Parts: sequence; C-alpha cells; structure tokens
Amino acid sequence: MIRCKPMLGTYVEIQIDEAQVGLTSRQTHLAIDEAFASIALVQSLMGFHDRHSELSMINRYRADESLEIHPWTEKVLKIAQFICHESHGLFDCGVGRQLVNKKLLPLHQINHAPSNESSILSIQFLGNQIIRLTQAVCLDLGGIAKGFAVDEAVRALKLCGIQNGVVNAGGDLRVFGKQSHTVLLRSPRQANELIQIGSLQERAIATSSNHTIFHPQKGSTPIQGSYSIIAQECIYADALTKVLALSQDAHHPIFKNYQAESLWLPA
Amino acid sequence: MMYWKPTLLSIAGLAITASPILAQAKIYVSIEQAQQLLFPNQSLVKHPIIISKALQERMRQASSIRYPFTGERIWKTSDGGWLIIDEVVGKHEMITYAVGIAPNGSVKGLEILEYVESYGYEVADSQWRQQFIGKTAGDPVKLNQDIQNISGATLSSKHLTDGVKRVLVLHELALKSSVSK
Repeated sequence: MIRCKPMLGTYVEIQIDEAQVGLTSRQTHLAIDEAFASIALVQSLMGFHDRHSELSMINRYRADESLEIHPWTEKVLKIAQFICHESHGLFDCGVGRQLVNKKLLPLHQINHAPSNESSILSIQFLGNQIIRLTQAVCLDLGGIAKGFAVDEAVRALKLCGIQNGVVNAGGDLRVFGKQSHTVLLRSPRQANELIQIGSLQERAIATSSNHTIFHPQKGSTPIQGSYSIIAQECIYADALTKVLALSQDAHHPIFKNYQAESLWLPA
Repeated sequence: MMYWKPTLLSIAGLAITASPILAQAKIYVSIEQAQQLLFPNQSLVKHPIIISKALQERMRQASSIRYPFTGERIWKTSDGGWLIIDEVVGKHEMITYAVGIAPNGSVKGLEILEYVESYGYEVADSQWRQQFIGKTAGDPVKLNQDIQNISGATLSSKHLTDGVKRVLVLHELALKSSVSK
C-alpha cells in the first residue's frame, strides 16, 4: 500500500508493506493519515514560505527578544545548532537571506538580520521551549526540517502499530522494520536515469544536489553533483548532505559521530 | 548487522560502472480507494458536467494551467461534498490526483492517484535489464512495481498546487450552486 501527497513543497510517499500483523486495512490507512498529519505539522511550524509559521516568527524578532516555541521546533533548532558547531559553520541554517537574494525563497516580512551575517549560533536555549536571540536571524530550515518530518512520520506510523514501511519526502527517505528496501538514486547527469545503490534496512538516506546549497560564509555553491548521506535518522542524513557538499570531503570527521556514510556522485 | 547492503558494484566506481534504468510510472491508489480515503463510508454519485468556454477560461486564469479540464470525473455526496479527479502536466511529469471538497467549500483532502515521469518509461535495453536483475543484492527490482524509493533532486509540487486552484474555481463557479438543484 502506497500513498502520496504534495507536502513540504515536494511529493511525500508513504509506503507500507502489505499484511501488517494485526491491523485491518482501515487501521493502516488511519496510521498513514496520522503520519501525513505529522508532516503537515512540521510544515506549519517550520515553513519559510508560511508567514504564520514559528520559523517566520523567529525571523521577525529582534536581538534580545525571547519567545516560546513548539518542542519540535526546539528540537530541530538544537540539532541544527549542534551540527553547525560540529561542522565549524559549514552547516548553518542562517543562510535564509542568501537564499532570498538568489530568489530561491520569498521574503514576505520584516527581517532585522544583517544581510549576510545571520547564524543559528545566535539562538540561546533557555529551557522549557523558550529561546532568546542574541542577534536577529534569517533562518531557513529547508536543509533539515524535511528529514525531521520524515522521522516524525515514521514515529507516528510505529505508534499506530505499523511494523514495516518507507517514508520518502522528495528524496529524503527512511526505511523502517525488518524488511529491507531497494533504494534508487536519481542521476545528477540526467533526471530520467536511476541508479540502484543497494538496499536499506532501518536506515535513512537523504540526497542534495548542489543547486540550493550555499556556503554560509562565502556564498558559493558546491560543484555539480549528487550528495547523499546514509544515517540512522533522516534529520541527520538531511543535514549532513550539506556538510558533504560544502566540504567536498567524503570522509569528513563529522560523519563518524553519526555513524553516517557518504555517497557522492559527480555530475 | 549490516544495514546498508550496497550493490555488488563497488561504490568507488559507482559513477562510472552503474548502468542507469529509466524512471517509471507510479500508481498509488485507485479511484475507488481515493473515494474511500476522502469520504469514508459515504456514498458518492457521479456528477459529470460540461465545462463551458467561459468557465474553462476562468479556471485557466486562476491556475495558469493552459490545457482544458475535462468535467467527467466528478462525484458528489448527499451532504454537499465533492470529489474531483484532475490531471496536471508538468515539464517532466503527469500527475493524476483527487481532491475532496467539504460542504463548506474547503479542501477536505487530496490524494495522488498516479505519477508518471514524462520522459521514457520503458527500458530500452532488455539485454542490459537482465544483467541488472542478476546484479541486485537481495530483492530483484520489478519494473513498474518496485521503482518507488528514489532519492535525489527534489521535485517541486508547484504544478499540483496550481491544479488545486483550478479545481477550487470549478467548485466555486459551477458545483456549489448545483447542490440545491
């Protein structure tokens, strides 16, 4: 059973292996509905395009202001900040304004961040989902929230009793359960070419192409290619593809910290 | 325990040696399944309408989709809900989708029925395909069925967003008023 909906600006597929032990097909569909609802919540909290999202709220704030956020937003911001530290700034969600300048994102609201100096490191976590900004920011969580949404969808499916399946949000995908699944990679040279990279079990893979990645300090884009990371959770796979693309180092030490493996196909 | 089983081809040589296969059509749910998902336990009555030129034009303006909408795949529920099936054609894809509209005119839900990549969906080189099947690690890849788990450049869902816009215009101008008839 496989269903697909347009979400997160792309197509999200949820695939459940047939014959889940002890579940009717109605229960399986309700589980898939729950998983889609989790993804919709991530979108409404962390979407840059949505001016009512919590992310947009954070982007409107000035330095020294503090606000309370949803635990999911807090979790994503914390992980994003941690990876920013560990990658020495290569992965920094503060690149929002650069993406706006390149017309990859719309700026539909007031933003107080200096045009090229926003960083996720400006967020202080005060506990109980309260954050404070040491400097105004222009954050884009596009490089991490999709992976998190996939993880939350998998969690929702498991809570509903689903034992095996795959969630794929436009290339950020996670396989869970005892069954392994063949994974194909879209060729960076030709979109209609698919390359079989192997089979995954209890793992996530995310792939980024170079087009939407910018070096947080230099503003440059990596050389053309397809950059994939295989990790246990999709949030890490998603974020680490940017470290791979920007460092051009398939053996960057950060990958070991997450037991992640890299896969880099030059165009 | 090995969680990632790479293909027999060594990863180092992947870019050079891996043979490509072509993207395929993906079928998600049938019309009947979509009806059940969007309007569970409700009976739907088919309600095709003829789309006038003027309506066609209004739908085009609202969505910037040029090719005409066909009014055949429309159903209604007894309480004023609607289910409409439409297609959007992008540069690289064709998507068949179902939209459920609640009696108050809001979008109740959306299901994608079918996704077809518009460039070549058959495998040209059958000799090569045999080689490929022999090379898979565990599950043989069944074309048309297993080609689901694709990682790679993100495909934009903008066309579908436009499609939903035109369906909402259709509802506003032609369907809403026909409930009372």
